[in-house]
Amino acid sequence: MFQTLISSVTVGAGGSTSMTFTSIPQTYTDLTLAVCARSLGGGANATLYLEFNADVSVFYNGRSFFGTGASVFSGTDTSLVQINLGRHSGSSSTANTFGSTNVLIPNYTGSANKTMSFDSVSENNASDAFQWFGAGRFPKTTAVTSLRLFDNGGGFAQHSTAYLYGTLKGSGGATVS
Amino acid sequence: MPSSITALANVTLGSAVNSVTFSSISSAYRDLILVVTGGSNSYSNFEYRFNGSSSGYTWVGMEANGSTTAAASNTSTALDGNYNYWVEDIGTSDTVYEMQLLDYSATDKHKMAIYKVRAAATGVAYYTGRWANTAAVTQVVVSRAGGSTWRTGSTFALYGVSA
Repeated sequence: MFQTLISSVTVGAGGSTSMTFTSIPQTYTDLTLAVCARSLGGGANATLYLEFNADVSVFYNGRSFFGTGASVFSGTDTSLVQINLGRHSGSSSTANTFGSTNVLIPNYTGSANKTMSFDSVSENNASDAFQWFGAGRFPKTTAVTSLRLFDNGGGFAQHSTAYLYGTLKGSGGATVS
Repeated sequence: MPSSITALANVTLGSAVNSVTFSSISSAYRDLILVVTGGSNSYSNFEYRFNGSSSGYTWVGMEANGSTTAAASNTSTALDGNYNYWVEDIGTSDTVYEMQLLDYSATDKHKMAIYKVRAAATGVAYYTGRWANTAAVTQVVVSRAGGSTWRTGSTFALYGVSA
């Protein structure tokens, strides 16, 4: 198995303002983050953010392609101090629904700027729901040692979860040249 | 039995090259996943080819450059992209390329691939492509058009997905 669960977070009663992974081991090549979350506020949808290494000293970059259930758009983020991961379900979305987000952070220990890709959907049994497909960049050459998820709806509702996996590249099933 | 993913091969480029070839790919899996990070320093299209073939490729996709979106389709000598917008980041930051090749070892169907290209400073794109050939895929070549090169430090990793 090439993916190993590093750690997980499950939000308890009363909710939480963030979900955070710290002291991320530097022994893998890539990180994958799977998030299933609902906001305490935000209306039908709340914006989900990802911050690297608690670093708010730089502007992160983002490009996205997203749909609303009625139209499609493309967006650019150049003045945020975190990555905009799209939307997840808000407090007025259908009861018991949670948004889903998947993030890939390749080469997180490398010395280049950290790039990433992500897919996310909010869940709502109504027309007001979002699908997000995007790219992000943390413009620092330092290794990623912590990740913090938060939103603009006041935090995560109970039963929200986040799972962080480490990926190891390998060999033996093909030759490469 | 749950599916599992196995790392098959990987390389990090120590110098710029035109192409990276995965060959003698085990047929023991259902799907292949290829993840590439890096890119090129010149405006040359990325290309996926199977078994050394340069014919029978068609694809459809959707592309976005940060302000507008567009649909695209093409018949080509490879599975490529950058049709309406230049999605890849040239020479500054890494682009992330992800490709999943479905039922790659089957001999009773044409081969279907889903591939995504994403760069935070330039654009994102999502494609699905067909190689009109029933042969089992034993080789995947990732190249740059026009003899251009993948830059030093680009990484290529191939995985097999079990049913």
